[in-house]
Amino acid sequence: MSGKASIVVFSNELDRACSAFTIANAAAASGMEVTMFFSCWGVNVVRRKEARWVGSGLFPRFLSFFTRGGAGKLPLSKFNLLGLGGFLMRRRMKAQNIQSVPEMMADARDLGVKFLVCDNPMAIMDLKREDLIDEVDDIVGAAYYINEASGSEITLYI
Amino acid sequence: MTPDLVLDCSGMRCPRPIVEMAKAMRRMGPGQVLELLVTDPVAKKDVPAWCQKTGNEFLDEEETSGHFKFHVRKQG
Repeated sequence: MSGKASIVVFSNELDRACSAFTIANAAAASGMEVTMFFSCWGVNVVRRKEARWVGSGLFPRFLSFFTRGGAGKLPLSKFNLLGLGGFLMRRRMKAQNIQSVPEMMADARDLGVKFLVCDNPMAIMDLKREDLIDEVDDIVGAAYYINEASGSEITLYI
Repeated sequence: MTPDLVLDCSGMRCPRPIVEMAKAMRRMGPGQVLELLVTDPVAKKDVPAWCQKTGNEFLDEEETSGHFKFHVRKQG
């Protein structure tokens, strides 16, 4: 292992998640120990696709409905056009032989990238461990990230 | 040069050739040579950079009409 990289994935958009996983996988393939922290909207990237209408109360249910679909259905940060932009972007990426987010996630796990999830958004969205994909290693707090990032040569916030 | 392993990443785009190369290297022994075939032109920059970062030895590259061939020796 040559060095560490810590990446905070704050966003749940397709374009930003692609960027995060491209860098994470390049770092892991370069022998780095890579940790990804999914915080705030980023939690949606590691949610199970079938998790719909989770939680109790109107707002968590509203959130879970409008952010449903998991890593394979992420919206675009620009030109999403109620999902049409995301659909066209995924199609375009496939035509250009660019890996999808789920494909890159599988590579990330194969290369030993750790997936950690921030605790606060779990509470806000009323999510439980079983609402997240199996690949998630742990649910942690900010101090855990600070300790990881302090020993990292590369830290990113995407 | 006779490589110990040939890895065809033609058609794949960044970062996949690097990811596949790193995976292939796990199956190889120290001193063995990997031949990497790619069509993504950024590999010309990425493969030497990856070698520099990982300590593997970049041996040579060859280009024939959009097809790149690299030889990399796994560090001993």
